[in-house]
Formats: sequence, structure tokens, C-alpha cells
Amino acid sequence: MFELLKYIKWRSHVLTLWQLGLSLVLLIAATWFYFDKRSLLEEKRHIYASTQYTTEQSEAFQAILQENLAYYNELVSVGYIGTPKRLQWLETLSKLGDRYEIPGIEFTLESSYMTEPYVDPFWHAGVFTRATDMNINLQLTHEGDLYRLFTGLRKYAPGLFSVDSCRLTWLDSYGEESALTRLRGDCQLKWYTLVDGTQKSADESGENTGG
Amino acid sequence: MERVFYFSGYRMTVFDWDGKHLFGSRDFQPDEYGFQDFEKLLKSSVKSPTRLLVDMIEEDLRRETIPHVNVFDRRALIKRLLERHYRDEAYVHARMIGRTQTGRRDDQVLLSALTNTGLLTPWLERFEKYEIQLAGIWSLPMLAEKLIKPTHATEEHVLIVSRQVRSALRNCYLHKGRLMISRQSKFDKDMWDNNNFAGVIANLERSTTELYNFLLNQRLVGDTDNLKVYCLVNGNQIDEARTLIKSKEHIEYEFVSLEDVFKYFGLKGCEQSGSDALYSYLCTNKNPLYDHYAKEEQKTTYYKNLVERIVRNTTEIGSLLFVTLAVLLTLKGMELDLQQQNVSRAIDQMQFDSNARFGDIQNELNSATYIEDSVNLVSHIARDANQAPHAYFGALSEVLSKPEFKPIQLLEMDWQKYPRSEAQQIIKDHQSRLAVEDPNTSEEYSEDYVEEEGSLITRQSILTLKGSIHTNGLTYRQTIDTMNLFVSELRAMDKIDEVLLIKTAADIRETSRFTDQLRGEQRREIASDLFEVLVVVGAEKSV
Repeated sequence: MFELLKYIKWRSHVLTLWQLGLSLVLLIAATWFYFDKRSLLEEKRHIYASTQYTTEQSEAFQAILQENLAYYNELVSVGYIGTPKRLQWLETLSKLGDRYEIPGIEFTLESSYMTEPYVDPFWHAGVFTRATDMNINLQLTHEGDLYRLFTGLRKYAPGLFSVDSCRLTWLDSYGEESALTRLRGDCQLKWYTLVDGTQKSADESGENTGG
Repeated sequence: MERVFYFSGYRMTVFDWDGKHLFGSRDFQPDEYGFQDFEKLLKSSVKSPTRLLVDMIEEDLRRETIPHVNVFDRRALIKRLLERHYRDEAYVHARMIGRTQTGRRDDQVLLSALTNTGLLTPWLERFEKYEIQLAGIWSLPMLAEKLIKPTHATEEHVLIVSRQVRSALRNCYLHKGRLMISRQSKFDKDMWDNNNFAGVIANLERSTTELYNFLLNQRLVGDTDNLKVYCLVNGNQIDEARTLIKSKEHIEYEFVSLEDVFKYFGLKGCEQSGSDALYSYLCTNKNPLYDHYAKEEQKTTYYKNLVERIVRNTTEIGSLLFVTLAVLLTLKGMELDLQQQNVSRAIDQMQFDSNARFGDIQNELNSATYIEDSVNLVSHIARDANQAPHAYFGALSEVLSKPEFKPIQLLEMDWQKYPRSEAQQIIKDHQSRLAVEDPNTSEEYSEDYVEEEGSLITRQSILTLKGSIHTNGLTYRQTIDTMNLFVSELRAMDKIDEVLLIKTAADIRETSRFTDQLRGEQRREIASDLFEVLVVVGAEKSV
């Protein structure tokens, strides 16, 4: 079969071969054009999907804000979020002791620290939280005093606390002198204050630093 | 168009076919005028491939047997056979016709040659002179196999008889559909220009009888085998032929109408033509690459034109295909470009709308998840904070203030928060210990609590109440009943999961030691009035 090739007079096919070559070049150019446009379209579609996703995400964030922002601001105003209001806690405790005539309130307010994973129960990967331990020793005439004290702290102190442990002991012996302080209380409270991580807070802190 | 030159051994006839339509035929005598006309025809012809069909009395056919070997050895063997039998012949051919049925099953080869081409040469010289594209030279007898189907010749031994020239009948013997022997049976000279059909039939009878005897002698047919003779004649002569000849022992005659065969092949324009037209048509269907006798140099012109045509057509079709594809791809690319522009516009519009809606509050939006997480975390901590000892003071006071619990005095109340899994373990430990101390107690273990991966830890509080019961004036049973009632009342309190009586006054459980003989410190240790109750506060559920 290949012997037939020797009979070909290539010179007589110059025109058609040029024609074939040109059409091949044309095909290559058209192929490049097609794939270029296709990749461009793919890119645009990708951008479109991305933009659509961003818009939908913004809508979702907007819905989240509508649902939570007011409450969040309220939490900031009551001291749950922001910087720990340590002085206010102590002042409130002191005032409550005076108001309810609790004779002996002794306290220790430990330094605040950031919660850590696997150590603190309320560690959150996305939200930084400060914890502050407070020990309170009390002499009470009635267990109702403790109720009033904790309820008052919850109501008036700017912060969120949890009673981690508390021991109440009643004096075994009864006497006239100890009648007003026959109950001893030893309680450990933990105050939780979330860091305000909003952009507004960052802006404010930036302004303060700069100013 | 297909042009077939039919050489009868004397004159040359040209058949021009357009598919199945014969639209022209012309005879040329081998004389001065005939050759002049022939040259005129060749000169004026369109340069297209032509075929040459030869029907010569000088065509010799010979059967040979060779060992069944591979294709290369077979070629060498056949070449040697051809050289041995037809050393001086220019036009030779060999074809496989089967294998022997006995012995080592050798291959059977049919060798053929045009032994005297003196009459053909002048015609071939003119082909060469006018550069006719000779596609090949075919042997007429070897095309006879193609008539098996239209004549319905299904027998083992078949003789196909046809009259192409006025001077002879062509007899082709086929065994199982393969040509074995072919010969021309010449008429007497007075018959050549005579239309005496009876004479033709007499010649047929004589020649078939001779051939049958020859086949018998050659052992190609057995003594009991029948030879079926199929004669191609014009349809209007069939009845006459049947009256002129009768089948005899071992030789049967069957007359086949040429018109029927033309009809079978769908041929038109050859109704008045003889079997030479039929064979010329069969020749048009043969593959030009596998002809019988043409030499390579005779086909050079044909090959040149063939490859030139292939190259030209290939390049033209290729160009057309490439251009078509290029156009299609360009159109598709333009369509994609249009789509891309539409998508771009949609993106711009979407970005514009998004900026209008969210541009001013982008910073707030970025903090949305943090705000949501913070709110959820505060809720979680608040739920935990709600679990506080003072929340149970009221309910506890109500229980203790009941007259039946007047003997009970609380001495210590211990509140402790544990991660829920840890609290559950503590409870389980106490339950196990109590079950050992008092087998009568139904042992109900709480299910294991497993924190979900990544979720915030839930805590649970355990309240331990320690106190004493004034047993003065109470029997042991009353003491026990009072304590049990106390536990039941505690269980009935709101948000209480479990109440366990760890230690009790008048402890008469199976494993405990109980006495009233002791005094002082020993009594305080063993038979005291002290009790201890564990109250498990229900964990705040996550919302």
C-alpha cells in the first residue's frame, strides 16, 4: 500500500495543500478562540456564584444582626460583654451587705483570666471570655439572707456569675450570742465576661489608642 | 461510470456501465478499421479507470496440491509452481480453492495463465499508447462463481454454460461453488454465422458429455454423482431448448433465462444483450486491487491517477472539514462570549445592589457571627448560672417546715457543680455502693452522658444535705419512716433528678452495724442520729 505513495506528484497538489494548511491554521485559531471564551465564561460564572454567595451571606448576616444586635447591645450595657466591672461587683456586694444587714461579709476577688479549652467549661473557639473567681465568706442569721444576697448580686451587679460551689453550715450549739449569726456560708462564684469583638468595639479601641 | 473492455479472443467489445445501467456497447474488429475506431474511442475517452475482461480459448487452468504451510511458504510454493508450468507466460494467476478432504488435507490451488496473447497484444499496446487507466485484467471463467446464486445452483457438481461468442460455448465446472475447470467448446465452422439453435443445443449435449467423461476420468465426479448443467439462454429460447435436449443418466439440464439473471442483479439497458454483458457487469464489481492477470507496470497509470485522486480528495475534504469545524467553533465561541457578557452584566448589577444594600453596614455584618456566638454563649452561661443553691432554698424550707420533719435539723448544705459527665459518674458510684450495702434497694443506674463533639460543656449540680434527726420519742421504725418520707419529699421538688440517701439514722441495712449499747464518741460514730442526703439537681438543657 505504501508503494502507492511513490506515485504522488506533490507539486501538482501545492494549491490544495496550501488550502489544507490554511484551513488547519484557521481551525487552530478557532479552537483557541473557543477555549479562551469558554474559560472566560467559566471564570465569570465562578465570580457570579461567588458574588451570589456573598450576597446571600450578607442577607443571612443581616438577619442575624436583626435578631441579635439589640440583645447583644443590651448584654454589653448590663456588663455581660465588655471589660469586667470588678469595682462595681464589689460595690454592689458591699451595698447589699449593708442593705440586708448581713454582719460579716468577707470576700476575695481573684484576678481575671481568659478561659482555656479543656479547662474551663465555657471556652468558645470564636468568642473570647474572661473568668474571674470570687470567694465569699458570710455569717448569716437566716438562709434567706444568702438568697437575697445572690438575687441582689444577679440583679444589680453588672456581670454574669455562676455559683460553682457553696457550703452552708449551721452551728450545732445554740446560744444567745450566736443567734444572729448561727449560719456560716462559704461560696465560690465565677464571673464570666465576654470580650466585645465587634468591629465597632475595635474601632473605638483604635480611636482611644490613637487619641 | 465504469468502462469494461471485453476481449472475446478475437474482437474487443466496450461496455459502459452507470451503476446497474448499461448505456452503451460497441464492437471493434481486429482489422485496420477496427483499430482506428478503437484508437478514436480511446483518444476521446474521459480519463477514467477501465477494466479488461478476457474470455480466451488460450486460457489454461490447472489444479495443483501443495502442503498446508504458512502464508510466506505458500507464496514461495505457488511461485515455483507458476514458474514450472508457465515459465514463459506473462499473464499468470493462482488462487486457493480449498483443501483436500483426505490425507494430510493439503491446500488446493488453481493455477491459470493466458498462454497465447498474440491477439490481445495489439489492444494492450493501444491502452499503453493512450495511457488508459487499466485497473486490471479479469478472467471471465473465474467470474462464473458469481452466477451460483442467481441460477440457484446449489448442487455439488455444477456446469455453467454460456455463449459469449458466436463460435463457442463457455463451460465452467464448479465444485461446491468453486471453479475447477473451464473450457471453450468450439462450434463447427459452418455454425459460426448460422442461427441454427438446434445445432447449438447439439453442441451443448456433445460438449457436456465430453466434459462429464473428462471429470469422471479425473475423478472429480464419482460414478454415482450427477452433473447439473445450467445453460444461460434468452428467455424466448427456453421452451425450444427443453424440447431439443433431455436430461440423461448423471447429466441434468436446466435452462436459465438471461433476462431473469439481469433482473436478479437489477440490470437495465441490457435486455437484448447476451451473457457477455452480464459478465462485464460482474467485472465492474470486482476489487481493482485484486485482479487476475494485469502486471504492475500495466496498472501504473491507474495507480497514479488513483493516488492523485485520493490525495486531492483527502486534502479537499480535509480542508472543508477543518473550515467547517473552525466556523462551528467560532460560532460557539461567539455564543459563549455573548453569555459571558450577560453574566458580567449580571455580576455588575448584583454587586451594585449588594453595595447599595450592605455597603454601609459591612463592618456590622462582619461581626454578625461573633454577635450570634456571643449571644448564644451568654445564654448558655446564664442557663448554667440559673442553677444556684439559693434557688432551692424556698422549696427546701417548705419541706423542712412540715410538722412531720420537725425532728430533722440541717447542719450542713454543700453545693457543688460538676461537668455533667463527671456528675453522672459520681451518682453512679454512690448508686453502686448503696446497692452493695442494701441489696434490697433496686439498682437503677443512670445512662452514660456523652458530650457532643465541639459543643459547650453542660454542668450539673449536686447538693449534699447533712443533718441530724432527734430520735427521742421515736421508734426505730418511725425514724426510718421519717427519713424515707423526707427523701420522697425531696424527690418531689421541682428540677430534681435524683435523691440518694447516703447515710441515715437507725441504719439497719444488711451490711451496717447497728447498736444502742454504745455511749459517748463511739455512739456518735456508729449509732449517731446523723444523716446524709445527696440531691442531684437536673441539668439545664441547652436550647
